[in-house]
Amino acid sequence: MSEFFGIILRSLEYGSIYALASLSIILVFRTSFTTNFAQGMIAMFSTYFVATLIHKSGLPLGVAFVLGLIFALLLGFLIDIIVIRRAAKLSPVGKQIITLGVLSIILGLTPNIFGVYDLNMPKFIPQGDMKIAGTSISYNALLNIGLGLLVMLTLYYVLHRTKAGLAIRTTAENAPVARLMGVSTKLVTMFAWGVAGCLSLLAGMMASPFSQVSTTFMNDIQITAFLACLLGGFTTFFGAVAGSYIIAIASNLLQVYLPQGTVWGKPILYILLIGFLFLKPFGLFGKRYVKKV
Amino acid sequence: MDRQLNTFQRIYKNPYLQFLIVGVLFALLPTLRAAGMVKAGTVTVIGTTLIYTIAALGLNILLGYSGLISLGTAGFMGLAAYCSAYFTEQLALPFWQSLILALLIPTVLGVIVGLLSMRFVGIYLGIATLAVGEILSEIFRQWDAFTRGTSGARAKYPKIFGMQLDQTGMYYLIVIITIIVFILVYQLLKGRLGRALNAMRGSEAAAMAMGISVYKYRLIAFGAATLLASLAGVLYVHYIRISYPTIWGLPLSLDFLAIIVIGGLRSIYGTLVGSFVIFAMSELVLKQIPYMENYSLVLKGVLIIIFILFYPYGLAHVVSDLRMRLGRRKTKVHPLAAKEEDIDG
Amino acid sequence: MADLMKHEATLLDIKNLSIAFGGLKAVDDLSFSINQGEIYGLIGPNGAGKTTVFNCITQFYKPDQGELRFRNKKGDIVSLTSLPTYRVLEQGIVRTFQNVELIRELSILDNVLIGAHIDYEKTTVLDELFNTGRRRREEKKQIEAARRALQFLGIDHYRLFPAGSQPYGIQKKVELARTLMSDPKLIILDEPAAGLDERETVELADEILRIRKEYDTTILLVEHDMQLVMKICDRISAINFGRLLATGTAAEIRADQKVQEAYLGVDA
Repeated sequence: MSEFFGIILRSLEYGSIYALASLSIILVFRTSFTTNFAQGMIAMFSTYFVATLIHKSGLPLGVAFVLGLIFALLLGFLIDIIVIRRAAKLSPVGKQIITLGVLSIILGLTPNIFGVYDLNMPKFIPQGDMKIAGTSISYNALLNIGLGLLVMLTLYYVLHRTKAGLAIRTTAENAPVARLMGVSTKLVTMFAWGVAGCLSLLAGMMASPFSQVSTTFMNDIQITAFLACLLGGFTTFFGAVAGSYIIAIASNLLQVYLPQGTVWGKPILYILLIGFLFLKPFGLFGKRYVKKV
Repeated sequence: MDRQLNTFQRIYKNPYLQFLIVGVLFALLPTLRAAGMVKAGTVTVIGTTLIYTIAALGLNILLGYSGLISLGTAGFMGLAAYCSAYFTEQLALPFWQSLILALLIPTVLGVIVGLLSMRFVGIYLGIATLAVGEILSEIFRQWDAFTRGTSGARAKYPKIFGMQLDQTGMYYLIVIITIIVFILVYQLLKGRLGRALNAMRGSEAAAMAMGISVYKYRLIAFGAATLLASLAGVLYVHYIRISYPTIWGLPLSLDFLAIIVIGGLRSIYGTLVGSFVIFAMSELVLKQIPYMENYSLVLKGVLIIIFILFYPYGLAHVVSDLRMRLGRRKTKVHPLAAKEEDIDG
Repeated sequence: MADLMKHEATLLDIKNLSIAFGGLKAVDDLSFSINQGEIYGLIGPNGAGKTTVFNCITQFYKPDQGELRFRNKKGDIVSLTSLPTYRVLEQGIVRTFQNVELIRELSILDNVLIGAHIDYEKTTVLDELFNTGRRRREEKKQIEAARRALQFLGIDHYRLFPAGSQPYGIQKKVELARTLMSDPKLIILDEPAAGLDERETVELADEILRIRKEYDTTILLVEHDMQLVMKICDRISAINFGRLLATGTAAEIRADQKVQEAYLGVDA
């Protein structure tokens, strides 16, 4: 029983990472109607930036992280201004291809800027753990879980209680109407890309101590986050978050209880998710949409 | 309206003759190498480029004609490569039997993914195929008994019609198969089936109202695309003679996407030209320029974006565009423009 | 009620048709029937449910209740609701769309040829792959038929232009030409005059009459342009809020009090 509880507790940490990654995808999707395949690369790139600041410039983690957030914000702005804005008139598939182009550019730039070696990323809290109901969990994991929740609550507050949030929600609901009402949808979209970059960086910072900072360390998280978005219906922020935690728990259960789970857990999880989405293509919470002809 | 063609025009405008001429030109390459005019490495690069052209042509049927995106092309190509290596080496099956199995297994899987596309409309399909590609990648990495893991699965030059091929013989085989694929794809898509796929992409409502079973044609599109990717995979593993798990990842699938975007959606020659830009150029040209080799991914990304935004018909349409600029042709429509229902998400 | 389909003349019989979207009844217990060779008009104020009726007939929507029976090409009586959308055409029903659904990048000729899709029944994918003689003959035959349809509507000289590059009026004609390719028994036109100018509308009226004669078919249309409807329709059904107000000739509809109220908004 305590093993099971331990799995759930650890899943919460992974759930936070997936939730941040999938929130960034949904944020971009709702405001610029783009499924951003480059989101994981943006996370990878900014995490590399932070790791390089720590290793090469010897900055403390906290300072490097703050600089990293600014970097991710600007990176998001830049991608929106230079590329995405011009793609507004493309079909959804056309926009997807554009983001794949962005993915290719970032992936190609990384070794040229940050070098070809994988880098270590220190944890926010290097050591120490505590026992909860017979299971030990590190302070860092608790912090990650807390940070994830904090970010989500902040995002919820901003979206539902502030003027900026109203602008975002109006843009997401109906961009032309939002423009008529005086919302600068361009600004909203730009900030959505920037904030999504920051959320991605945070996800990258939490995930990288588990492996190392490499060009591929965000790939699985990106795919999982996409599937979490689909599971949540791909429209609501809540759905994406719920999907993330569900997948994190399922993933950990498979890895522990499946024979050779650490090897085959991931592909089997993907197959199960695709199977589920085949039966319920609009996810757990999504609504069916009828095309008018 | 129809200009009368003179005899000369009638000959050079004949598509079959054009394909044959292209084939003969490629077939000349080993002779040029024997004469010392071309490096041996160049022949290998061009042979590989033709193999990639076949796989990209499959993706073009899917994305260009049918409007269905797939990020799993490399995975299916890899699966066929590993199948063929496994059947010929480990099970010691004759090449032909192995070929049929290595084409059949991935194609069946591709059609199953096609079934998924019934439910995963629009944006979802890219994500679903991305996950399928990742599943295949993971299998290539982990299933050592089948793929030999990181040490790589080896294969030999095949023996066909009682003839043991060498490297040059394999190159000729690749050229012949490429041209046959060109001709068959051309015939397959120039008529009713091509129009049905186009209708499915352009307006699903119109397609259904005109009696086109969207279900059937999506499966056909996925089947054809996977079959071509598999054929490319088999040719690859018997030409390069080794397959590593790292080859068949997302970057290769992106290359196929770049090929058809840059070369030209719905164009056979465009796909060929795109393949040369993406593969042959970086191998033959960029490697000669200092620093540029490291930037090939960046360049590909930039080209994808620039072409989609500013030249969506790709290089295949340079000639017709020039003619249009000179006022002799009709206006064009962006092939990936949003439809009305897309604009507001 | 007598079974209308027993009359040889009845082509389409709609009985007690209902469909609701999220509790809102878009079509409510609607019944009418169309005879062979008629030009039949369906009118009603905005949002009356006209297009929804069309979508139910062509199986783009599955009605919640009601029967849709049709005398198909073979002369059999079929229940349309049992068919998937793409199999409605082979029964002999073809439609146009309110917002013109053409394949923009394809030439006008290719767009019209899409209308002949099911007539290639004899050729298979293998025929296509190997470009057999059968396929070539079939293709030639269809191109001739398509050009006849284009000539009939006077736009054959545009046939090689991409459909999306043409003005709206031409696009509407292309859609009309496409319907003629399947040798239909019933052509359903969804607001054929919307977006056309006065001259084009007059032309359209003439074309619809000519289509009925030349192609020996029946036409059902939804239209806002009252002049057009009154001029060419043999019979008209007026609906509002998904319910039938009246059925009759143009003169009868014009004189009907309920129809007048629906249009003029007079309280009863």
